[in-house]
This record gives sequence, C-alpha cells and structure tokens, in this order.
Amino acid sequence: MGRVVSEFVFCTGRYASGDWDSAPLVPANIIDSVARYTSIAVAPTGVVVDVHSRAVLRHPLLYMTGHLPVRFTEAERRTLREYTRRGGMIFMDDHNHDIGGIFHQTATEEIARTWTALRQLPNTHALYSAFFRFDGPPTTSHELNGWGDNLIHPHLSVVYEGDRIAVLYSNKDYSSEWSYHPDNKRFLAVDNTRFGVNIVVHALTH
Amino acid sequence: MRSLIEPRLLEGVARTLLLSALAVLLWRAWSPPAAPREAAVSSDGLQAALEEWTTSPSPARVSVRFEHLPGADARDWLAAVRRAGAEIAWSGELQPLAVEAVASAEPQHSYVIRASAGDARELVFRDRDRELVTTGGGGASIRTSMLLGPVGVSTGEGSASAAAPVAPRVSRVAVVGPAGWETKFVIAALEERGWRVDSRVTVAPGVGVGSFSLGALDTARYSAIVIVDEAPPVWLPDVTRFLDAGGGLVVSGAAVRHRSLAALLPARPGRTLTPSDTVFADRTTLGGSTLVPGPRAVVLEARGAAPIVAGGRFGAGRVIVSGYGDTWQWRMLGDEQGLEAHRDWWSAVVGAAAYAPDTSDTAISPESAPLAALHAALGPPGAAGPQPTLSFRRFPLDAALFGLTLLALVGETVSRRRRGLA
Repeated sequence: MGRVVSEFVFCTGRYASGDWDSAPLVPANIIDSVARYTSIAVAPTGVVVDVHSRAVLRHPLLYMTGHLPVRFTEAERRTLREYTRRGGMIFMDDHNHDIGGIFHQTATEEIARTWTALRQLPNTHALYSAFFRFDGPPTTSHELNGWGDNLIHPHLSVVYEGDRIAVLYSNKDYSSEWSYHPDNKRFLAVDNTRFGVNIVVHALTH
Repeated sequence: MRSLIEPRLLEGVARTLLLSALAVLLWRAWSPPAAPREAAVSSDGLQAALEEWTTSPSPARVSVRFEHLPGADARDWLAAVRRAGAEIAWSGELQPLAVEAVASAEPQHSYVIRASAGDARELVFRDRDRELVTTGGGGASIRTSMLLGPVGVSTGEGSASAAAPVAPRVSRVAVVGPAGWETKFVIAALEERGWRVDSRVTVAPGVGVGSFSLGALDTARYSAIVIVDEAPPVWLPDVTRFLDAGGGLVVSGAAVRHRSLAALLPARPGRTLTPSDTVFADRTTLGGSTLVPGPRAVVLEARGAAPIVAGGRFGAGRVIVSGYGDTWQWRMLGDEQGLEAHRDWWSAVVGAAAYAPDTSDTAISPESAPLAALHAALGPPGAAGPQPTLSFRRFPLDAALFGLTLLALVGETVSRRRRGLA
C-alpha cells in the first residue's frame, strides 16, 4: 500500500484494457498549476494506481484517459463503484476527441454499465467557477485540428452521486491539450491548464 | 324447700340478658366497624387492602412490605391514605431502577436510552409498541433511530418509563478549513446527515470557496462552527462571542495545535499519533494528536490511556476538540461500515457541541425512577412491620356476647324444665 498523506496527490488510474498512460505529462502539468495558483498542499509528484485495487480509495480524485477500447474487469467495476459511493470523483477524458471513436463508445458504455448513463453538465455548474471563471468547458486547440470528430463539444458529461459529481467525462481532449512540460507554460499567453485547477479545486471542495 | 332464688326471676334475668346480648350483636352487625389500630400487608394484598381502607376507615398505622416496586397507582393511593392521616411504614429490599431517554441535537436525530437497574440480571427496553432490545443487568445504554411513544425498561422486579424525548431543533453549521480531503469530507458527512452546512474553504491566500461569512456567525443562524485544520487568528473575537452566546465549537486535526485557539480549548495537544499504514478498520487506526485535558475537560474518547477527543465549556457554549487527523480515510478506506460510521461520528460530535435550546415542556416523570418516587411519596423505609395477618380485634367482644347469649338461653331452658315447663 502506498503512503497515507493529507496533501493532494494527483492520481492516474491504470485499467487493464486500453492505453491508460497515453498522456504521461498531464499529471506534472496539473500539479504545477495547482501549486502555482493555489495554497493547496500538493504532492510534487503524482501516483499511478490500479483501479481494481483498494489503494485507489486513498486518492479521492482519479484521472483516466486513453485512445483505445475500454473494458473494465468486474473487479475494476466493483472498486470504482465503491470509490464513487464513498465520495471519490473520476475525471475521464477522451484522448481521441471523437464521439464516433472507439474510446468514447466503449468508455461511455462502461460508464453506463458501472454507474448510469452520462448526463450533460450545465455550463453554469459550480465546476466552472470553482477557482477560475469559465462560461463552460474551455475549448481545446485539438478540437479542430483535423483529428477526431472536428466538433467543438459545448458541454461536459457527468454521472451524479446525489448532487455531487461522481464521474466527469470529457470529449475535449484535455489530455492532449495539457500534455506538455510545465516549463513551457511560459510560451503561452493564457495558461490552458487553468481548467485543470478548477477540476482539482472542485473535487477538493464539493 | 323453696329455692332462695325464685326460678321465674332467674328466667326473667336470663331472658333479659339474652335479648340484650342479641340487641348488642344486632347493633354491632349493623353499625360500621370501628377503625382498626394497625394493619400490615404485603405487595400481593395491597390492592385489596387499599380498596378496603378507602371504603371503610383507614387503620391508624399501616405496614407495607413490598416484594417488588409498586406501580404508580398503588404508590399514589398509599400516599393518599397517608395524607388522610394514616401512618405508613414500608419495607422491602427493592432494586433501584431508573430510565432516561434523550434525543441527540442532530437533524436526523437519534435517541439514547440509558437505564440503571442495580443487580437486576436482565433489562428489557421497549417503546409503546415494541420491544427494542434485551440487555444484561446493571446499567445499559442503547441508541435507536426511532421511538414510538414513551420508552420503558423492565426487570423481573419492576419497571420504569420515561416520556418520548422531544428532539431539539438545530440550525445551520459552519465549516471552515483549507481545501483538502478532510474539509471536503467533513462537509460531505454533515450534509449527508441532514445538516445545512455553510462552508468557507480556503484555496489560496484571500480566496475561498463557499457561502459562509464570519459576520453571520450568530446563534440565531448557526448552531456550531467546525474549524478543520486551520485557525484564522482574526476570527478569535467572533468565535469567542459566538461561544459566549451558547454556540458550539468543534476544533479538529491540525487546528488543535494553533495557538490562537488555545484559550478556547478544554485540552491542549499531546504527542503525535502515527496513522496505521496497513488497515483502516475504524478511527482507531487514524493518525493525529493525543490531548492533554485541562482541569474542566471531559474526555470523550481515548486511545488506550491517551485522550484523543475532549469536551468542555466556554462561556455558555460547548467546545469539542478532536485530535484525529484525516478522518476522511476512515470513510474512504474503512471497512463496510466506514462510510456510515464517518457520517454518524461527525454528526454526533457536532450535535454534542451544537447550540440547541430545549423548547420542550416535558417534565421529568416520577415513573422514570419508581424507587425514588416511592421515597418521595412515602418517605424513607421504616422498620419492617408485622407479617401480614388478619385482624381479629372485633372478635373478643362478639364472642363474649355470643357466650352470654348461649349461657342465658341454656339457663332459662334448664330452669323451665326443672319447673316442668316445656
């Protein structure tokens, strides 16, 4: 079992199928932004945890992504269901930004099988004002790059546990948008990881 | 030779005696009996005796020997006999028995029923409609989420009952703390137990998430404030004023070590507890800090001999200090009951400190402590009275009159026969 800490530890979920590690630079970039903008005690490095393991319960925010088909094992489904029931929140991003793509189709199917079907998250939700203010999910530079479905996805999708977000699902391809070395933020006019800070702050406060 | 006594005169005297005795017996039969001087009775005959003493003059002195605790009717009836002028002495080896029921100051309140029953082997708890649980004797405390009507506890020797408690009304609770899992899950646990929570979660210097503002901290709006892991020093005057007005304060985790709060807390931090890194069954595996209780602190929980949760008063309010750190791990990593237990525990802790004025007008019932009520009604037990026997105080006079009647009848009959009369 890993360490038990009260600081925020960014956790990437490793599932048995697909390519769970398709965006390896995202954790470091989000950790950098959380440390840069907030006073949240954050661990300098993230962790990778098997989603079928109870160790995932140590990290109430779980990041999952991939390009390939997703098929949870029964143990993974059981653990993830328990994870959200106890209060954990999963952020799952479609690295293909393609609603006809294999990740989206299989991931949404797995979400429906594990919890319930996804619902649209209103763009007025507290998530969009948890720290920085947004009018909805910020558009990524990858949504119109010729890959994927070439659509601007105006909403994120969710599964609720009561009135709390249990699963936050995105077709925006934030995994591509945020997968660069944190030092390169200095070349950006506006830090495009700010919405990642909102996701972390929302998970820690709601 | 003629007799010295004229037989006719003798017969006349005998007849007169006979008629007189019959007249007296008849009068005594029809006239109300005189009050007996003493009576003794046991529990079994008490009801009949009370009825007799009520429909005819009470004895001057009554000795009652109780084999078991009398019911309210018998006790009050005896007290009425006593007030009517009879001297009541009672005895009996009665086990003390008492019950109380209180409702917790929580939105989804639960009821705690406590009973004390001396050496009784078994205690049966019940409400109006059902038996709740049977426990071992002595004393016991049970918690239930629902009560139907009054509660009662019975042993083989008696029973006690208490009115259903009225749950106090609670207001909102404020939670302040830094952005982190502990603050998040304290808020979640309280909301999931029905508390209306206003929070202020610090995410950056001068930046907070939530609707709570310090200016609104007043007992009219809030029952308690929970400070998790941080203690803004500038808040101290407002929190002090809130406590003085009767509000509740819960200080948890690292906030226990903040000097700015030390003057309010009934305990100071002790040694650091290292959390278990292997098994999270319940809160006994959590890390945190032990406490060193102050002189007026009440230790609420301890790990071994080391206090870890303590309570005390400040002004008109109550303060609870919890040395547990990262209780969210109990919820996330605990066993099957971890989630519910985490909610229950936090709700109970806040409820124990919360400002919740008692608006009920329920008086304490004497039936909640029947032995004490017996003492109150009849005074302390006196020397044991005589063993229960029937009273024959009327018997000697009636027997003498009957003997005299018989003697007069026989004498007259013999005299008449001697004179040759039928």
